[in-house]
Amino acid sequence: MENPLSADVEIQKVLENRARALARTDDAASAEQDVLRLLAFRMGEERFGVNMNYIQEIQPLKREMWSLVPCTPNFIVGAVNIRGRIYSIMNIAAYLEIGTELNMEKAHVLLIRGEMKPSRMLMEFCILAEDRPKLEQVSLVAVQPARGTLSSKGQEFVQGVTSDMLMILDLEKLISHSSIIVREESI
Amino acid sequence: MDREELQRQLVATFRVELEEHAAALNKGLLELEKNLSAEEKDELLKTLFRSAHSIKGSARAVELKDISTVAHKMEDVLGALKKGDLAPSSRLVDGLLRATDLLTEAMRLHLEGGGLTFGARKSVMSELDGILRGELRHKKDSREEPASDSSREKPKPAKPKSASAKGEDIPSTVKPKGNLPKSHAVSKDELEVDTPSPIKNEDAKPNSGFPRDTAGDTIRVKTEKLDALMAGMGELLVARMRMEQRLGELKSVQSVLGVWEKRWRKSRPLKRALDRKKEGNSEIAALLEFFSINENNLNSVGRNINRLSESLESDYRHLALLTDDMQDGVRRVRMVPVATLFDLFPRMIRDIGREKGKEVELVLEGAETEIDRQVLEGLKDPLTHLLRNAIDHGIETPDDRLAKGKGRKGIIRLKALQSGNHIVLEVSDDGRGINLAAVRRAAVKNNLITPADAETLGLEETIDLVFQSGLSTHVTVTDLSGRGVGMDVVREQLQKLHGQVKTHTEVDRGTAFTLILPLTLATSHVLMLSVSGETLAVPNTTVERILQFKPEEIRRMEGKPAVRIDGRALPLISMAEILELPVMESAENDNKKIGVVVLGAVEKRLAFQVDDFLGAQEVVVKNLGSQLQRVRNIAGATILGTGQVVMILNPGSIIYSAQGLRGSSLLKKVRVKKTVVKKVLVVDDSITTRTLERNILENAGYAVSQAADGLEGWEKMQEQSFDAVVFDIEMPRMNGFQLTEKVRQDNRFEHLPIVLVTSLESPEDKLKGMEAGADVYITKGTFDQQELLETIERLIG
Repeated sequence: MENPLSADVEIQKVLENRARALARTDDAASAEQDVLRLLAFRMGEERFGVNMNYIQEIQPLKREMWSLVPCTPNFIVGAVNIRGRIYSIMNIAAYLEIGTELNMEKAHVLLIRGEMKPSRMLMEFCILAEDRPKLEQVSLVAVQPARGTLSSKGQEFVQGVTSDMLMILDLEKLISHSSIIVREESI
Repeated sequence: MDREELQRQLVATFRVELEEHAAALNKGLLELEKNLSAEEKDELLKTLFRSAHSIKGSARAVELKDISTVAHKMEDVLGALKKGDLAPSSRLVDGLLRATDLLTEAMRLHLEGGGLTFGARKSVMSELDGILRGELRHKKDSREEPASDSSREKPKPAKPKSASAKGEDIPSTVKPKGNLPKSHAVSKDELEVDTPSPIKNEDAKPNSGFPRDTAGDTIRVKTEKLDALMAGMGELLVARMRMEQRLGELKSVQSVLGVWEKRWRKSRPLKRALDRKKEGNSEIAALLEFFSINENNLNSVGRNINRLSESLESDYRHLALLTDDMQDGVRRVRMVPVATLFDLFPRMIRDIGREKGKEVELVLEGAETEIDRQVLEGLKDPLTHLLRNAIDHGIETPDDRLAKGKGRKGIIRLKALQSGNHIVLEVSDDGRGINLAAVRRAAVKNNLITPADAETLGLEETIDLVFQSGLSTHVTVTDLSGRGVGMDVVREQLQKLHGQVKTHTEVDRGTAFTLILPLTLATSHVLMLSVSGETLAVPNTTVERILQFKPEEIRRMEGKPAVRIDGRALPLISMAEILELPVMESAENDNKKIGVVVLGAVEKRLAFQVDDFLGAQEVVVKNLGSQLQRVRNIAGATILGTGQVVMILNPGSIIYSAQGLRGSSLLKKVRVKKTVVKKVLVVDDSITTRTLERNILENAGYAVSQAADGLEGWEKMQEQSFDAVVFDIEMPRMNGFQLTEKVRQDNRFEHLPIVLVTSLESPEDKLKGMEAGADVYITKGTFDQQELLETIERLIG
């Protein structure tokens, strides 16, 4: 019988290394060595944590301030008006293929801003949160590799998981990834 | 600032100056080839000389020696022309044009850190030298310009033999090298471009702050500043809309107050009644007192609010006037005359004409018409392509033209005019017209349409094919034109600009493309729609009709919904479906009218079903942010006064999506084995057609009967009952229309599915068929086995 586990073992190894690398990384935002300061929010059953670096601001999502954008992939929720400018709203859970129903009652958006690498093009968009994001301190020691059960996308963008099952998102990678851009070839 | 920084700035300024002079040279040199009066020619030469002269001096000041050298040589030639020593031959003009190109090329290379190659410079310089020497009419002892280096000014004696000197052929007696070193050994006098020269240099100097033009009083402003101003204006518009919103809200408060006041008044009798009873009851008395105070306060508040509302409204109106004015003003600042773009074309036409061996004249009209800079930018490619096309495919060779009885020279006309909120551009030629048959053939060859489709394609649809990519009717691929890519660019660009194009073509008489565009893109007049509960906007320029239909008025054409507009049947597409929105189910007995909007883009128009119309307004167009760079069907978005985000649709894209949807109906379906055999009657006077249809249907499991004309068909229907009938139209004794009407008049056949199959493809016939009562109308051109079969299956299973 062939070993179906060997592939998983490989994946696990990669994820472990990544988590270890993360644990070793100096977080510019944290004053102490062993603690990560993250902004944590909920999407469906999952909780995500993101580094403060790329977060421009957080706003509650009011019903009148956003609309659907027709004909976009399922990871685009719509577009929102923040102080007179229009930003797209991205559903991280859908993007990572962790499908979940959305409850927009208490939703917030996190405005992400960063430069894409290597083009240095400015990327601005919002990420949807189903609750109000809160600051959390996470001990690096407690960070474990992401679950091998995640989709390939999930594995690429989740740097690690904390003991409370908080999935740490690699925003830097996300911003630079061309697959988050919607650009149809011929219209 | 340090020297390097200064140098950089100077070069940047020089570059702008060079561009302007080069443009002037290009334009002026082409004028030289025309028939001018002596004064016009004089003026022209003066201007051209000035341009070359300025470039020479300024280039030297920023130490761009190769540019200066070439400009100097041009100045020489132009000087000789001015004096009458040379005649403006087309070779001369060619040489000078090439030299002008060299100047801009040199600038480009310099900006990249390089410079002109010696070879490039030499060839042009030799050419100009040859012109100078070879065509010098007579000697001149001295020149008038003391600004030039006098050591250079020894005239070269004319040599009759050297009349044959062409470019590289320099007579051995005069070495070209002789010129170059001398022009480098320049006296400081040359740097002072204006003082000793009798020609006043009114052109911009490289080191002035804001260079000024002689033509009127103008200032050069960076376009970024204008864009920022325009954006700010847009935001002001949004703020104004918000204020309008607040006014509305205040009015709501007023009306609530009004209602409340009314109720107070109603309860006054109660109060009075209680008043009489209050004696001895201090509590009631106090309460009643409070009521009085309350009423007074209420009245007072009411009055204040009314007053406030009035002044606010008057302030708002004032603000609206001011912002409208300002917006117009800023918009006009962004407007540039189309001449800016038009001026590029004569040169291009001339060059291409030469290349193709055709004689072409470009006539420009309305060049002073003003247009938003952004729109102008977007028009550059489409216009370039249409013009190239006109020369390539439109204008015939001089011999061909003479054979047709036309003049040798082909005329291409480029015209611009403003019409209301639009700008209209027309590109027309008097050439051979578009060969529609060839277009259809090419479309079949490129697998854009089937051969069957090709036969029934109407004029508009054929022309629309021209705008699709992959089409090339020209046998050889020539640059952009032949590859079939260009027209697609035209379409896409026009879509982006929310423009329309109408084509008119006549064989051997010519072709005219008329482009209709909105004057500006920053703001847009839009029509607001409601679709599946979502509010959407569509640019007014693309809305052709707005209508409401009763549910019964929705017909069917080829099995799909259609509506009759202006005597034509247009397919009715569900906007919700195109936008992938959930389709709202209306109640069974809902007699509500159905909203239909006809949108047009480029050459096509389609009717779309929407839920409701919500009025029209002007909005500021915004993009969807950096993540949503290009979304199909969506042009952009806007923010209303309420803060609501509303998507602005892209009708061109929507129409193309709609066409995709229509095609998908031809998906192969799994044929279910029929247990009950259904009976079909086929009526056609052509045996071949009858047999064909019978075979198709029988193979699919239907029982088929036949009749050779309408009357026979009717008789057969009396003998047997059928589940469906298929009629031809053109038949003896009783045609298909008459038969259909007769069938419908009979109660027994009220619901009998009737399919008309015919080669009559005009919209009027289709309409007639629908009105006679047919369910489906299939044209024989598009008739293939699948369509008939699927139609029957759809109708009776």
